[in-house]
Amino acid sequence: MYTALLIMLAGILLGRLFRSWLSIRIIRKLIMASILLLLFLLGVSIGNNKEILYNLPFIGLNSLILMIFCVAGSIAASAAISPLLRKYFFAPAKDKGGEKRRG
Amino acid sequence: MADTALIILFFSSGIFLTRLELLPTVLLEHDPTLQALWVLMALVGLSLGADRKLGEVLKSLRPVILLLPFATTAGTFAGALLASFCLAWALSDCLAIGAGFAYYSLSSVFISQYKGPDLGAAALLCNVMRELFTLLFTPLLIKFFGPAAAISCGGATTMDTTLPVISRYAGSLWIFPAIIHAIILDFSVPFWVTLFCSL
Repeated sequence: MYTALLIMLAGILLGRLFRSWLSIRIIRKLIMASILLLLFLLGVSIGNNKEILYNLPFIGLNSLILMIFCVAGSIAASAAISPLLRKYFFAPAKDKGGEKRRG
Repeated sequence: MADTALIILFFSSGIFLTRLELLPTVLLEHDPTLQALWVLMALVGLSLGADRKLGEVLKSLRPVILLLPFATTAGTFAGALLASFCLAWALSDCLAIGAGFAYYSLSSVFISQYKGPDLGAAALLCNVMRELFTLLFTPLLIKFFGPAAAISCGGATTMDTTLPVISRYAGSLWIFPAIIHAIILDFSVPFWVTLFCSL
């Protein structure tokens, strides 16, 4: 389970060390390629499993409900903190706006 | 959007090619998913470590802007907690799926590896729907709840796929908070998903 996480941490270290030799653009392309491969494999394992395949509409409906709850929670939480954001982040927007964008 | 279409295409062609029995049996006997996942994680790590902009952005950060990703995380988990009462899935499953924050690709492959392909499919669908929801409803969200709500809704996608629609309707002032928000969430996805998969 934690192997994947450890591999990622090792990747961060290596990426930091060999920063000047690596191209972010190429790494991003490789990430997309491996994600596509993995999703293809996820499709294969679902195609192989009739039970999941027939359950897909049910899984989809449950996913939709879960999504709505998660989104509603996020919206409520961000609405609750947005007065703080306005006060401390955007308050000096008129004179400090340019400076902030550069940061 | 093109990426989303590509992802759905690969996922569904996996299902159909398997149903039509067009795949070599080697693929079914020796499932290379775990090794592919390790390659992916190494690449994600490399991209984070090699990113010059990431360090600069994190250094110039004003702590108050961290409130937004924090609110997204807390709100999503609270929503997943409530949803677990009326869904067939356990709380840890709902939290793991919710912790994708619309970053469907990474979270779904992770969850399918550690919780099984049914929950992997759920993570894919749930998080794709979250991205689509954000793309479709950002104008309405901004009108009724403000720009922070739309960014929160977009989760980890607010620096790429949903950034154009957010900057258009929320104004360019919100581009920087949206990017910070996505960087923090993006980075946290593997940690949260691993944590909730181990519960």
